[in-house]
Amino acid sequence: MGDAENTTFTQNEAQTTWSEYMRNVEGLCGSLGERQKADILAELKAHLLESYIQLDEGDEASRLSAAIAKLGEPEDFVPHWVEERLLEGAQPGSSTRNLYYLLRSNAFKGVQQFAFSLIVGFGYMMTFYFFIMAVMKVFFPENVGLHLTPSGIPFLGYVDADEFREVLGYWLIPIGLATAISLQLFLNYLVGRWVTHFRR
Amino acid sequence: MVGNDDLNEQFEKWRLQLRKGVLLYMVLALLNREEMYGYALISALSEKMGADMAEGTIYPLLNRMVRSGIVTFDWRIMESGPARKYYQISETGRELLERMHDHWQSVSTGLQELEDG
Repeated sequence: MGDAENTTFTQNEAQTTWSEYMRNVEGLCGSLGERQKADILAELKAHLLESYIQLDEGDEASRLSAAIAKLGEPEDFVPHWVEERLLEGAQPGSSTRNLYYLLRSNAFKGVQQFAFSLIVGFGYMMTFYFFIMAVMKVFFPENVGLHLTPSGIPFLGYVDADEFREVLGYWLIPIGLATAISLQLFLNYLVGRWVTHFRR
Repeated sequence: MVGNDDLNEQFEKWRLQLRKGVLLYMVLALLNREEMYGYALISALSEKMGADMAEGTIYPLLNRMVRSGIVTFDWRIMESGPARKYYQISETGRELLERMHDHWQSVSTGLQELEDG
């Protein structure tokens, strides 16, 4: 039995209503990690049970239905709650998975949001790229760097050809790391501001 | 001429906007009096703001308040019944509440002066 079915009612109808409600909540929490999902379920469960206890008239099923009616349908508030939890993904040091789901859910809310998710997603990939280049410089100092092509076009990456001229040398390590960190912080800030703005 | 239905609709719109606007203020004011868990907080809010509030809508707001650092929480195991998540106002939350209170006072005074002519 999962969390959704952990509470026992003596009436089958009440038990079914409870299980369906919690399953619905669980389904809406699909993009969250297990701990965050369990947190939401535990809080809702405590709320519903308390509300149910306070409603002392009627049988189990009608009391539970009344408690659910007061709380509201999961579709009306759980998605906002989930989005709030996903926004925690925009804090430094938190889950990349959360961030991915946040950007993905934001992308389907309109053209502007889609463009934002696309740009920010690309930004995060760039962050990762700068970080990887800085690390790879340690292991492949001759090949990794900011190179200039014979026609003078800059290119950051791994090359194995003599006609490219490397310009940064070992400075790529601090510059690459600083750029990755700054970009990450800026994008986190941007995501927090933008998604909050569109949720209003 | 504005009909009764229009008037009611406009009033209802204004009432909902006002409620949305003061919700944060009221949650902070309640938590400033004592720490509370979700159900108790919502019951107190419903009592103050009218019973037509869908209780679930308060949870995303509480989560946002936690995320912005104006409220903290901890889970407590109860002797009977499920564990409860208790919310407490933080120092930043108190500062925000003070500023909200001051602003509310000045708006209220301004309104009173307007009505008094």
